Order: sequence, then C-alpha cells, then structure tokens
Amino acid sequence: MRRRLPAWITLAFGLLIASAASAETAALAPGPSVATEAPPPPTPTKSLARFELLARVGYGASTGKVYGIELEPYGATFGVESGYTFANGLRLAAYLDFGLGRSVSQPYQTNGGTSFELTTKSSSVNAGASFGYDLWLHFLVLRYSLNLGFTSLSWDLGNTPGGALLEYAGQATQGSKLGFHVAPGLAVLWSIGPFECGLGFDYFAQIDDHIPSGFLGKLLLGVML
Amino acid sequence: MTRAIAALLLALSLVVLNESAARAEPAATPTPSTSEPNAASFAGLQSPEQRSDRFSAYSLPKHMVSIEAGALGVSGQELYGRIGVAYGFGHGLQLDANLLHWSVGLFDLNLRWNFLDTPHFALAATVGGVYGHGAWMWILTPAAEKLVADSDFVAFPIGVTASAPLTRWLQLDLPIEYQYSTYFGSIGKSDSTFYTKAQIGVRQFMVRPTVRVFVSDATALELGVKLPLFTQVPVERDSTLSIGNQTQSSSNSRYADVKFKDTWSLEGGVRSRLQPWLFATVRLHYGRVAKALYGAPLYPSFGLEFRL
Repeated sequence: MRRRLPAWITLAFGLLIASAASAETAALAPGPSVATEAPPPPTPTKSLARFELLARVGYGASTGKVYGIELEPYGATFGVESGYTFANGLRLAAYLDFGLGRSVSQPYQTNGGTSFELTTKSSSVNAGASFGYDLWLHFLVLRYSLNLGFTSLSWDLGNTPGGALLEYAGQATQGSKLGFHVAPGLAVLWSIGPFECGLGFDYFAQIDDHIPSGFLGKLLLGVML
Repeated sequence: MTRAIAALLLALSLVVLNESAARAEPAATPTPSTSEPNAASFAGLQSPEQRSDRFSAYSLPKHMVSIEAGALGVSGQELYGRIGVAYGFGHGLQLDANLLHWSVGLFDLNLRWNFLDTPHFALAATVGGVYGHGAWMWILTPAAEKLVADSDFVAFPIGVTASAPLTRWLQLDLPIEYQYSTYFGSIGKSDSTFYTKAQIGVRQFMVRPTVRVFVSDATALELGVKLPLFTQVPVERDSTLSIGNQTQSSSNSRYADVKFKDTWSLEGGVRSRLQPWLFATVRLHYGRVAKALYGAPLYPSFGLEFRL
C-alpha cells in the first residue's frame, strides 16, 4: 500500500503562516516602495467591488485525443456566469456552459487491425465554481480565474460497429460521462456604465481520461450591479 | 492534485481574511531590511522585491522568502506542480527547492548567485542537484512506476542567465543551461520512461530566450521558448549472443540522442501582482513534453507566489 505524503497540509500550513505574516507586515510597515526613480502611472483607485451577471459566448476546441479518438465536445459554447468581486479584487463566481460540440470524421483502426471511417459527435455541459482575482490594467480589468467543476460529456459514435471502440465505449455506441475539471483562465474586461464586456479564455483540463481537455475562447457580455 | 487544489482554495480564502487588513490602504511594498547593491532602479514588477526569478538572472533580496504553489507545469522544476520555497541570503545568493517534488521522490536543491546586477544588465550563475528514487514516485501510473521502480538517478544542472531590463516595459532574459545526469539500476526496456518523457533525467544543453513586456506596474506578459541544442536520454537494450547451443543474454544502458522537434517547447503567460506580497501567474505551454505529460500539446499551468 502506498503512503502519500500530505503535501497539501504542508502547503496549507505554509500559506496560513505566510498570509498572517504578510498581514502583520502590511499593518506595521506600510513604507514607500523602494528603488524608484520615477513612479509608474498610478493604478486606478476605483473599487473593484461589484456583483456581475455575464453571458458567455465562445468557441472551444479539444487539445488532445482520448483513447485514440478525436472528440470535439466544446465547439460553439453558450453560458452564464454570476459572481461577486470584493474590494481587494478577490472574486467568487459560478458558471454554466453548454458546448454544442461538432462532428469529427476520422480514420480509425481497431486493435484487431480493422480499419473504418469513424464519425464522432459529442457535446458537453460545464458547470462549477470560479475563484478569481481582478486587478486594474489601466482602464481595463484583468481577471485571473481558476474554475473548478464538472463536465458532462455526451458522445455518439454513429454507425460504428458495437464493440469496435471497446477501450473507450465498451459495447455502446453512445453514452455520457461525468468528470471533474480544473480550468485556469484569463479575461480582460471593459466597463461602460453598468454594462461590461470582455474577452478571455479558459483551459478545461479534464481529470477523467474519457473527456478531452479543451481550450475555450470566450466573449463576455453583462451587467454590473 | 485535488488536495493541492484544496490548498489553493484555502490560500484564496486567506486572502479574503486578509481583506480586513488590506482594505484600509492599498498597502505599499514592504521595505526590505537591507538594500541590495546595484539594484535595478525600475519600479513595480521590475523592482528587486517583485521581479520574477523564473528564468531570469535575479535573486530574492536578503532575508526575503518566496513560497509558490502551482499546478500543471511542464518544466523540470515545475513538473505536475510546485510547492516551491526560496530564500534570499543577500549578495545575490538564493537557495530554492520544490517541496512537492520532494514528496514524490524527486529531491532538488538549487543555488543561484546573481553576481552582477546593474540597472540594465544582470548575470547569474546557477547550480543544482536532483536525486530521484523511482520506487518513491507514487504519483506515476502503476505501469510507469513499474518501469522506474528499480532505478535511481542524479542530475546536476548548471547554467548562466543574463537579464537585460532595457526599458520600463521590456526585459530580455537568456538562460543557458547544461544538465548532466546518470542512472543507477534498471529503467526497463521502454524508450518512454517518465524520466525521458518529462526530460528530468536527461543530458541536455539548452537556451531559453525569454521576453517580458510590462504592460502596467502590476502586470507583465512573458513569452519564452526552450531550445535544447542537444538532448540525450537513457535507454536500456538487451543483447543476446548465441554460439552453438549456448545463449548468453545481457542488458546494458546507454544514452541516445533525441531530436530537437521532440524537445523544444514554447510558453506564454501573464504574471501579476495581486497584493504587494502576492503574485499570480497563468501560462500556456506548447510542445511534445506537454503532450507526453498531459496528453495534449497545448496545456496550461497556474500558480500563486507569496513573498515575505
């Protein structure tokens, strides 16, 4: 039986100490920044605190094959995102995306040596919680995010003989799979009055090896409350 | 990995707790206890307390500690993830290690000496040591673990890095590194062990030109390419000698060349200062090494760095 060292405990403990120490430093020694010949352009002081409701429209593509099969469950993607940003930039949000996916035709050879033209059709639903940080980038807002959630993949192997893709699908020719994803992302947003628009990307790193990881470019449109 | 993610979430929640302290003022950069000689005169992410030491010639100021937590990296010291701890001893000396790798049987320690630091040019020498014990690499799949279970390796990367912060918005970096490695024990008959796929136990000479564009005092774009001029990986071969009805078999290991197209990689990312003591990065990596590790040639990595 393997023994796993509790690295996460080490990390969490270290971060706890680091966070506490830095808070103390900030409170006791708010000195001027050092080694500056001329100060950089001032960062906007407008508070980042706000509630947002955003529509997400984008296009995604798989970045790898799964079990030798090319699946495209992302494609044109539509979704919503809602979140709150604290004054210091920390942001908590939730998101829901529907990826229409697309069909992919590909030559495929079974382990037994039989070759045939395989057409796959897949789509996906992604949902989860987003942890992020906003900061000013001149008049824009730069958003770092780490999305943690689930992907529900629906796949259809068309007229593939049952059992031909045994490793991936077993005897089935269509089905679904639910897996956990980690999706780091970046976005740049522009506020116009109560409205907001932006461009960004998320990279869905899939934990389940039946679901392909994918890169999703997105357009964000919404309101700030 | 889910535990590492849980720890990252904990870090974010700690930031919320710190909000009460930070809300009063946009906190200023902590004054270092000792000024570094010839420190660059730029501010923001180019200042000695905030500039990146990743693939640059710079080291942490005296008594400064850096704690990094990241995941999904592809380069040697960031493979799969990083819980990095670094300390600045002053006079340009810095020691760092990836404790996450220590927990999976890869023990590394790296020393850097930033011996030249002028406002527009800096040089550093780096030397490191890595010891890997195959049987302790529990993070690998059972098949991959079996291949390396009877092996140990040591690697010694040495290098020189030049950095040139040309303007307030542009910095060029050029790390040049050679890594020597050797193996003990058996690495199996496969040419694609974890060591070779991840390029951690290879003999390699490489340069890594990097460009940093500072788009604000708190954010920089980083673009770099790893160009291995030669790479050798260990392979184990069986040889069989038959004379009459007698057969003698033996196995031996040697180093074989790997083509450039299999080893180069490209990365682009963004690094920002979220708080004077907290930095975030998101990067995208492209190359065969990413495909070997994660199944996709394009893959992200992300991380948080605390500087105290």
